[in-house]
Amino acid sequence: MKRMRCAGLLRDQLLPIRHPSARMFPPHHIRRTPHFTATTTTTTTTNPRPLSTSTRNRNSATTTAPAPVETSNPNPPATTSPEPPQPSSSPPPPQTAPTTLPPCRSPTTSAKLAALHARLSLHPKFPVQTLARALIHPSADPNPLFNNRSLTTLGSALINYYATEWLLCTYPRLPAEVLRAALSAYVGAKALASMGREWGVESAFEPRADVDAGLLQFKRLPPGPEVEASGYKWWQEKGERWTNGVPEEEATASFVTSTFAGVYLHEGVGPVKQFFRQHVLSRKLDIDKLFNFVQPTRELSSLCSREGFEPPIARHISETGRRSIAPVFVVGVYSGLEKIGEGHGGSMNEARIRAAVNALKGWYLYSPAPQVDLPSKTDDDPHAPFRPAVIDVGEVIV
Amino acid sequence: MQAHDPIHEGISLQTRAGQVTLCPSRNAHSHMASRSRKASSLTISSPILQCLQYRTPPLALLPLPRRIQTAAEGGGTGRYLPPRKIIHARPQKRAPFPIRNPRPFAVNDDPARLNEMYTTLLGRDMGLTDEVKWQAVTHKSFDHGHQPFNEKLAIYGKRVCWLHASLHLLNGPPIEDKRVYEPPNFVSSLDGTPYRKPEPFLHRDYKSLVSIKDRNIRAILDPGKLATIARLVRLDNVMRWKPKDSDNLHESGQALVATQALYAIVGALALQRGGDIAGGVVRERLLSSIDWVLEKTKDMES
Repeated sequence: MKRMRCAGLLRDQLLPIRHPSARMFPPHHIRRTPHFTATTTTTTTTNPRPLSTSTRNRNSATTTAPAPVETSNPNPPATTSPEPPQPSSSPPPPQTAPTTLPPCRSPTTSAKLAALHARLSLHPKFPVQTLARALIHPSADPNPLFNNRSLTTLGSALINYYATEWLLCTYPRLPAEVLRAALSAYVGAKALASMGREWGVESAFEPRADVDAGLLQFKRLPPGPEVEASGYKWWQEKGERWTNGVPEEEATASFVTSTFAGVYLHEGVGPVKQFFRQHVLSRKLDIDKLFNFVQPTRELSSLCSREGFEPPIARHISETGRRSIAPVFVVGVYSGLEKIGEGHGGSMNEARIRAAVNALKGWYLYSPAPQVDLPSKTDDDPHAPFRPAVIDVGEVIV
Repeated sequence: MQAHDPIHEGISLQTRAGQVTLCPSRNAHSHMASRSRKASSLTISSPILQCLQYRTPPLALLPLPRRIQTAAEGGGTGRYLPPRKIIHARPQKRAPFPIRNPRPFAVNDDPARLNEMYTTLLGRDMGLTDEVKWQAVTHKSFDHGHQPFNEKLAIYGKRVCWLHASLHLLNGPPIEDKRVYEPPNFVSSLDGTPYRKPEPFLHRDYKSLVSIKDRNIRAILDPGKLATIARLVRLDNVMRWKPKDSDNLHESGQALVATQALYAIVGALALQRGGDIAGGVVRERLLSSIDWVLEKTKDMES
């Protein structure tokens, strides 16, 4: 509400500032034409009793209707429900049965949640209740109907699949170790957690009843040196690591992964692929920094032997300051008449090794010039034309 | 002026003054190589083998000649051919006589048996190329990685299987949890007012979301089940690998290598034929029960 008032008074001052609810990307459901019609079926029950929230919430649970949240129409989300529960203003009812939902489980009354929904440009078919469930880590609530464990499992299967196929089709010759490192850099817990921070997700200090439903709820790892927990905790499943809590990074990553699963469930295969492209593949990763060659010259020699190229020969190209304090040598590696790599260094040996590293990177970082089709292209449309990808023979083993 | 040394044995640097060879590196490498080779030959070859080597002509001790096919020879299909310049290839760096392993592990070399395995496993010809068919059943340990191997295909295929197992659970009947969860007692921390117990949000898009758990996915992608499928379609007879102990294949991890080959076949299908065909194979052959493979083996035995 504060946001609206500001927008009314200081509209022109606020315009150039990037608003927290501004779209980070064009909406990934842009191709779908009028989607606002699906959202008009909000809770329409006119209830004479002001505090009987039980029937209202049961209705909203059975209908598919989330609160329509759009940046162009910034309704305060508290007003989307007919009677927002106001535990502080109204005196506690005399009857014993409590009637208000705890704030940590009432997503329709959370302004943070609606803002997050709008910031991510999620389709209105994506209910805020799913987004709220994605924010509850199993360590905050072990009940699988309330926490995000199954959403996280589904989402991690999805994003691992899309990331692997994209890397395999874009850089077919990557060594397996580099492929694993690149996968972890794109969809590992650290990358996902930083993505969640960029989305503006905040964490609750402790999962209590009074925290907002738009905050990430999890049990924090106790401070101090990490102590091995004894046995599974009440929120853990068999096969997990024994811990006394989870770090914030892991909880944030689980939320981001669950959001992918939610997009898949409510919007479909095409939108989740576009969501993945916009949020994961748009991040820049220097894959050539991931290599670590131990014996590059031997590896290059083995590579040329395996591929049937002429054996590599290092030749001195130029130099400067040989007798000075800072000499520079430039050495090229040739296979036959073709120069396959060039490097410079303070000594001839260093330059030769760098040239071999460059030649190897040139081989491993090959990318097909016409972009081949990703295998997931035929997932949603089996009759789509499909150009098969290049299948690499594997890295050189020295 | 032509230098003949490969780069790992030494460096030949051409300058205007002429050819300069970096002596230290060459000496270091060659000394190390020769020393290690001599030591290993002394320790490994037993006196009996040495006796045999002296008494019999060396040709009788040589293993069967490797059929490494090159483009220069031309001929049949099914082998990996390096992309270009194969004519100028020098031979692989190999000793004429394998000292450490005089009897290499025999693997399948017959394309007919390989195709039979693929037909049994996939049900029909899926249109994989011959090179990829060989690559998907070749482990990294075979031939010291000189032949195309299936490591990355297996990484990808495992993720394809994992995704389709999740979707299989999502679209199937829900698997309810037997554990009963006590709803937490939500109490306001301001004045101690109790809150109402929240009800779970249900949505028709959720389908069987409750049944998606790591444990359930592991149960339908059980390594033992996949190894059984691989054994029944005789994948372990056609795969190319090098066991740690040729006399004890089980301890050498035959089941694991066969499972990896199975995953690699799925990955190769996805990369060459598209995701939906691979998904269909995963659903029909790996996620369902193994009755189909038992029927096939009955037919093959009778």
